[in-house]
Amino acid sequence: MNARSQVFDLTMEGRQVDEAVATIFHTVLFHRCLGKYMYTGDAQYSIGTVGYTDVDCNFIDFTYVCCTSDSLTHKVKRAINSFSEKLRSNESCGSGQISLEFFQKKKNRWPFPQESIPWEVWTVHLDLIKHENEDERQLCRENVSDLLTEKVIYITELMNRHDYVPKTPSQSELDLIFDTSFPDVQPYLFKFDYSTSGSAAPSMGNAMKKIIKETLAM
Amino acid sequence: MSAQRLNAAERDLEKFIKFLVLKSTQVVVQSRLGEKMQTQCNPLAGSDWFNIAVQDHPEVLDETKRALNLKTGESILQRLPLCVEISLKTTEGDQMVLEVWSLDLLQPQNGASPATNDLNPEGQTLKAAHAIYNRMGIMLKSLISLTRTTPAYKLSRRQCPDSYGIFYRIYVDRPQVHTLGEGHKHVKIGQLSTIVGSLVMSVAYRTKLTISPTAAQSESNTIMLKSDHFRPATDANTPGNQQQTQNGTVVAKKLGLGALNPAQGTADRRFIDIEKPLRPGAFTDMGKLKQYTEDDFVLPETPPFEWLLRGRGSVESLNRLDNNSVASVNISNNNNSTQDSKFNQISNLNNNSAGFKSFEKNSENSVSPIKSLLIPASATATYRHHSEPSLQPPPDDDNLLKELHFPFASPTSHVNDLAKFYRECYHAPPLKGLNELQAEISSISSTPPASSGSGGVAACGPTAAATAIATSSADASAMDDLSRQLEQFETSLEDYDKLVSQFGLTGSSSTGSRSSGGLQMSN
Repeated sequence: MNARSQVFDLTMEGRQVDEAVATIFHTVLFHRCLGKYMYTGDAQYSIGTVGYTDVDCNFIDFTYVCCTSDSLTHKVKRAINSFSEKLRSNESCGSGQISLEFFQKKKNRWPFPQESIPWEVWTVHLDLIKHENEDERQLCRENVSDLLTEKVIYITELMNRHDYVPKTPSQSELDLIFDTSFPDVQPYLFKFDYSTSGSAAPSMGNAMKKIIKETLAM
Repeated sequence: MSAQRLNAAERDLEKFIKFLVLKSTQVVVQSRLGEKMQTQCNPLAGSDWFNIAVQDHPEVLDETKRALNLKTGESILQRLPLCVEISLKTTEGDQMVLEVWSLDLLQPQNGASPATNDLNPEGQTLKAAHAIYNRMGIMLKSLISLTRTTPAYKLSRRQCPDSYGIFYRIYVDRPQVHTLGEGHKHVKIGQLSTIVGSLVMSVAYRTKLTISPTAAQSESNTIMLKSDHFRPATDANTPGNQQQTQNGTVVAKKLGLGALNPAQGTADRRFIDIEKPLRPGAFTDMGKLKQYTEDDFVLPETPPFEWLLRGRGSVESLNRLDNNSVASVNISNNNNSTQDSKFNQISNLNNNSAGFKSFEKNSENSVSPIKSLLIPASATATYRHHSEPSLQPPPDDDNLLKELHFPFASPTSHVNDLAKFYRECYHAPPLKGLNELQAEISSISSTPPASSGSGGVAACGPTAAATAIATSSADASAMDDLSRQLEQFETSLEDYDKLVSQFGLTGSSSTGSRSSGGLQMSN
């Protein structure tokens, strides 16, 4: 109910958005991914190994680490691309935000649907700018690099606190906590959500639509 | 039972910490090799610690174990903090420490742990172990992420053998952050509280990478210092080497002394060189001075020697009083020399006539009474002849010398009388000389009439005089004699004055000379 929430404010060019958001989200997911669980019994299991890969940014002087998992990488990339395209489109006013939300499901008896309870939310708020010449662009690369360094350090500090993380459940309830759809890694359940300033203001109609969609999805 | 469990938990913790240390050093060093890392996931259960695929680099593992230097049964807790120092080294040998990663264990607080354990030993133990293990995994992941954010990572990705290389050093000690320079940053990666203490993982890294030039300079100095220190270390290790190095140093000192000696030698030589030119200079100056002095002595000495030796050396030796007269005579001679050459020639003629004068003096003495009677008639003749006395100083000098040769003058009056007599005799020669000159003129006049008419015109004057003389042979001879005597007296006036001055010095002789002069004039 009371989920931890962190907001990062960034200002950069349009083409730097994808890599900047990927840096933050992949750093978070690297910490929130575990190896695959192999249950030998209902209460006994072993955990697989997580590999890591270095990724160099093209428009930012930065290198970040992500899990070695193509399926996970594709999922994150798809979400960020959708957000970036919308943010950089003419409909947008040049600002927006995208969220990475970790949640757990709560099992309820029929006919009520399953309830998603977020326990940690990471939000990146972006403002787009344009540079007149290459010198400013080069300075921007360095500034964004320093900024991302600070963000990564901050993420690691938060990750190493003695904060709440869901307990490991039994085998039958594993899907309530972890996303078991990936073949090589097992992250906590997460989802993306984004909006841009050009979007319509939130209203009861939109809220009801979201609730209905979620219910139908479930 | 609880005690055993606590011991087991501590053992597990020590094991977890040990492998956290080993994996941490691997993560840090591998991130600085300059390559992109990629390790694969393994869904199946594996032996990877903390469920993270960190492959062990053999060299790094050996270095870490060597640094820890763990003995059998020794706990790793006593060997913390462990540090990994990353430094940059250029091809020129300049070094710069970039960052220091450290894993430390802070002492625990005894109060809390027992209470928590007492509350629920079994659950707490299992939970604690599981939670600690998971959090160590998260800490390791944070380390993996952060090793890509510090400036050293970018430098390591761009390293190449031609420019610089990245090196690591693992040591067990407090982090040496003073080598990172001013303005370094310190980041705490994570902290994990356990029953054995709080694990703290942190990094301190340099931010001012532009200090490298000055650092290089200082490091070059340090390298020199190291080279200095290397020798004493070898000395300390081996006595033989010590002796050799001492000999070497002694040799160096000797060489130094040798170098100094030539310098001193050159200095001495330079002094000698300074002295040498001074000495020759002094010698040349002395020589020149001596030469001048010699010349000075020679110049004034030659004339006096010449005059004295030629004329009157003996006179000076006899009487000093006569030196004044001699000097005056010399001066007069000099004056004569300044006069025309004609007068010199005339003086020569007078000298030649001096011999004749000496022969004719006797005849003049016999005719003296006649001459005194003819004085007024030959007045004009005497004026004409006055010009000639200036040409007769040398003969007078000779006379004076002859007078001085007679030592009898001073003791008695008889000697004075003799001197007077000799003086009267000496006065005769100049008159005869004049007569001879006139005779020569007459002879010359006689020869021209025969040659030409002009000669005849010249002969009229002397012929008239000759005719006048011929008219009265006896009277003419008497007139000539008187005029000659008068001329002699007039020419000898200067001599008389000199004699008076000389005799004036002595009382008796002066009075005698004056009286004799007066008598002669009256006559």
